[in-house]
Amino acid sequence: MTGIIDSDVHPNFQNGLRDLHDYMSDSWRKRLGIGGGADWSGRFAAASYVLPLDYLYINTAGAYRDDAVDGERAPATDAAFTAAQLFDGHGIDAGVLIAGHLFGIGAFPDPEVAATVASAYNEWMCERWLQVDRRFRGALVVAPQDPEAAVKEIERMQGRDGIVAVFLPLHDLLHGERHYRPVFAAAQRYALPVVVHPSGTENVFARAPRMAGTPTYYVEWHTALSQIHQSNVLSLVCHGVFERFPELRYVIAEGGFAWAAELMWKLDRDVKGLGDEIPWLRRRPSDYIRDHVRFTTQPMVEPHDRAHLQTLLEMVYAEETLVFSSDYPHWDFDEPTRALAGISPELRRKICVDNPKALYGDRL
Amino acid sequence: MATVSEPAAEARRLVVGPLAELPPGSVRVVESGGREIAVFNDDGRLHALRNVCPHHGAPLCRGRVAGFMRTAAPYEYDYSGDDPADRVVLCPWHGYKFRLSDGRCTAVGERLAVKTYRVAVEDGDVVVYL
Repeated sequence: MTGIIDSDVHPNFQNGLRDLHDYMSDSWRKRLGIGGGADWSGRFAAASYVLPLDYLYINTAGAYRDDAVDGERAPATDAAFTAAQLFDGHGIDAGVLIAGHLFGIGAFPDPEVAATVASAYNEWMCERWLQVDRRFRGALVVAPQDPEAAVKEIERMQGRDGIVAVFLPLHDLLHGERHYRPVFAAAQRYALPVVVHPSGTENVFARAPRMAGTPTYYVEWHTALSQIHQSNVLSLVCHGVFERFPELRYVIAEGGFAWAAELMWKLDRDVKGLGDEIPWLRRRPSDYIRDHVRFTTQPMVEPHDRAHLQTLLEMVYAEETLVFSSDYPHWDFDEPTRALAGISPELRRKICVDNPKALYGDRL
Repeated sequence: MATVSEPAAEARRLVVGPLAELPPGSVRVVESGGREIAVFNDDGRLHALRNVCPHHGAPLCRGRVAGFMRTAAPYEYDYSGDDPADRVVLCPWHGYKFRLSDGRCTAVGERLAVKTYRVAVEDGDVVVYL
């Protein structure tokens, strides 16, 4: 198959926030303790200002594809190497970059820090990735803490070459809340799908999205991440966000999709009895989800009985809702032919080519 | 609420009883050929519906008669109140709402409907036509 589009690729920093040194003002470098000479930055606490990640959960598989390491280079820190390994190596024609180290910026206590880091990253992504290999596309990242700043950032970046989406890192507010309305309005105005992704901060930081209970193990935490996406989809539908923004597309990257079947059925049924609470739904909840929500495939489900896969895909309207993703360079990478084996060629084409094209439109 | 049995299953005209015994806010159930029909007096307006919720079979005669929230813009509410066109009976089990006027479920995209019957007052009696 030609024309495969990968909707979840993660460019990484080699040296943490220091990689953004050239993309922020001197004042902000001071504020964050980035650069300014090793003589002082090594000695002061500010030098350890780090991005919020899941430091408390340890991935025993190592978090990355081991073969994505290139000498001294950490995985996905170099555009040319990444393009060769991902695009040439797997027959993928385009990949959408979702900031590999910025998943957790919604947990920064200071919204200004989050917005500054997001802006610097966007410039870095354009210069170091989108302009290096045209097969890369970018999701511009915004700070979820501050919708006004997020809108300004969307307006600033949306016209750049290769920008196809807005990456909205998760925060402790669910996405139906009016807090996010300006962000969705701007995304719709510029025909940019809004992409969400696990944050890596769930239950670790106070402003992070919350899960039910506190998982003990990484494997437990990782499997449970879809809870947040379920809550966000329910929130979006029940608040009438897709009534307000009829052109909005919401892409759940690495959040699973099989759960959507029960969620659609259950919500469709519940509103029959409970609809007076949210009488602004003019369509069945499942109709909104089918039209507005897209799910990336990785990590692809592996039913015990492969025969169940086809039924499952029909249940979630896969021919409209799924878009392929590899999650390169992470340890749970999906290879396009192997991960989608057992799916008809027609449906595979929709998932890998047609649906992403429809999703990103002319921007692709 | 009283149940009135009617022996003639094939009867087209079913006498429910004197209107005086079905005051506003009350409901009576009549049976004909194994079918139960609930006759509601909603503020002087009479409505006859099959007494079975098409969802899970609950007896609609035990449900509340009320208005419902009409479709509105996000975060706005428009309660139909006493508007005769938008009065509903709420299924006593799951709260599905059926319009008294035409038996249709008010849920968006929902095809469920309860059969309705013509009801009249003749010589002081409430009469249902099957």
